[in-house]
Amino acid sequence: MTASPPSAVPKTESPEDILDALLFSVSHDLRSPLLTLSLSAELIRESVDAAGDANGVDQAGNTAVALDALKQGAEDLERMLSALTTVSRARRREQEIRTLPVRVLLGGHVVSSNVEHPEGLTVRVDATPVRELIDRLCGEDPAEIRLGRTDTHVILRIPSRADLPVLDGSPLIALARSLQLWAGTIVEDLASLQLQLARQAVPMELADGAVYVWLPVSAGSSR
Amino acid sequence: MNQGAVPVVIVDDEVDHAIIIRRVLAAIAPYAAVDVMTDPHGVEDRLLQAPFRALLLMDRMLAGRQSIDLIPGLLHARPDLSIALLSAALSDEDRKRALAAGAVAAAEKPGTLDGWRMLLRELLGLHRARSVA
Repeated sequence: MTASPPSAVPKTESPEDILDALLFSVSHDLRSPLLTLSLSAELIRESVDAAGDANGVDQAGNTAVALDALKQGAEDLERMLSALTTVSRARRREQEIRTLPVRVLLGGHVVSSNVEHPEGLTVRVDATPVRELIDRLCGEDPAEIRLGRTDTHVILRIPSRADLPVLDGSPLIALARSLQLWAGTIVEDLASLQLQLARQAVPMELADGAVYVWLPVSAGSSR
Repeated sequence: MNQGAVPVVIVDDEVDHAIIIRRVLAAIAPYAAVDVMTDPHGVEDRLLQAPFRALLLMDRMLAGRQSIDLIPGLLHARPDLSIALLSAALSDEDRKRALAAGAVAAAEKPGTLDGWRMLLRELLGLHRARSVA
């Protein structure tokens, strides 16, 4: 007997959904055995230390060195997997895009601008990643944010009080090209925020030791 | 004070994790009565037989199934239990879901022994406060 094919056309998963699932499984499933390795190494290390203390000598110098190396390798893997988790979460984080005045978005900071009536500008954006970006770069003290505009965008130049690596362009691409180099650094944080902004069609890039963000001007914003 | 005198059930199909959690618990709460369940099949029924006022340390993924979905039914049948959800990776959304389902806590599994000691002390403290209330 020949089985007849199903009559309904199966639903295809979008590449985005598949990538999300892969990112999640990489960050979750690979961390699980890694935890076993690093915690086991630590348990043995504590036993070796206790034995050394009890006998007054380091009886297992090679074991201790090997375990420390194992732990170091596990920590390095943990750092890179953590960066993948950060990216995975940035892709899934809920957003609340709304229209709001630039002065509200940048409240608490000093805005310098050649634009006429910058206080009348409004943009369409989820404020959370923008605020987090400013906090990450400038700390909690007021920063001087330079503001420009085109017909379609308000451009923010956010200076950095943190040491930015010599890196122009996209922190997300930098992280994607080398987890080894950038995982656990400020580039990972910026990559996560860039991804959240990119999901709102808000471009962001690094240049001249600062971060530039292009916020879409909302309809009806003053010119 | 005998902070460890409490029934604890570790529910984790990652056998190595369950063993490590039990060892850390033995060191920080030597009087805790610890059961371990590493076979996820039929776990819901077996958890209904958990000791009175037990603290369940439950992995989020059991045999590929989200254990968050088990929480409301378990607590409906056994409101005396405290459930803490643990996972190798836990998003904010998952944490909120677990708490909304009735878990007393939801946390990522720490990567260090000191992290485990701190987390388990915190969970035992939470459980004790809840048992007294």
